[in-house]
Amino acid sequence: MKIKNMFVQNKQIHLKDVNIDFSNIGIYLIKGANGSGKTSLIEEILFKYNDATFSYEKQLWSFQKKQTKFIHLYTSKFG
Amino acid sequence: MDDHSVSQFIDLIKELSRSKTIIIVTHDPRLDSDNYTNIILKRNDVIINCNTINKNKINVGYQDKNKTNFIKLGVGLFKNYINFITLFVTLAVILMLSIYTQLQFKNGFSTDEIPPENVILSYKGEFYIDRVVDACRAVCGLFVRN
Repeated sequence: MKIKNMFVQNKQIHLKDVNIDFSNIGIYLIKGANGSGKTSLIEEILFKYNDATFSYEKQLWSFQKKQTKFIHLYTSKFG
Repeated sequence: MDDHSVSQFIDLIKELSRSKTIIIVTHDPRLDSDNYTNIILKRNDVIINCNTINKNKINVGYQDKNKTNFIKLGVGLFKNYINFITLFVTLAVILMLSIYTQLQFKNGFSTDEIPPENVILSYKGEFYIDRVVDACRAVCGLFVRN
């Protein structure tokens, strides 16, 4: 999955031209300080952004089918 | 999460990441590793730093689409001394099997003594004995030993 020129904006966060390549299998760690936009970014990718490109149509179909079933793990604040 | 749960979680996602893409949103430093692709968001900054330092890169989403590289597979046999020992033992077993097979073949053949000069035919068997003996006697008139 490839994200190109994504735009994330709310009251605190202004992210422009976000380009991320998730096409390699593996673990991607999105990290940053509090309020930097980690959750907003992943929510934008999973639920709002519709221009993600996939290597195979099967992947796009699987992504759209499971879009409402993504796992959300809420953990207590560390430190 | 406590440290034990974090270690279990890391083991779980490592197992899953062999065939899946996993995106983790966290600021827990216990999950920091150079083996992951780190996407760092900086506050008051619109730049996202993608450190693509994933050592186990697979370029295509589905593993069954990848072709097996037999050259790399063969070279990998010599990277580890255990693999080298396994190869050596396998070759030794093949060699012993071939020697054993050769011995079996040798034992299967006739070990009769070489006949003397005045004997022109040596044979074993019972079915055509009479016909062969009669033919030899008729044509050559020589003694034929059983």
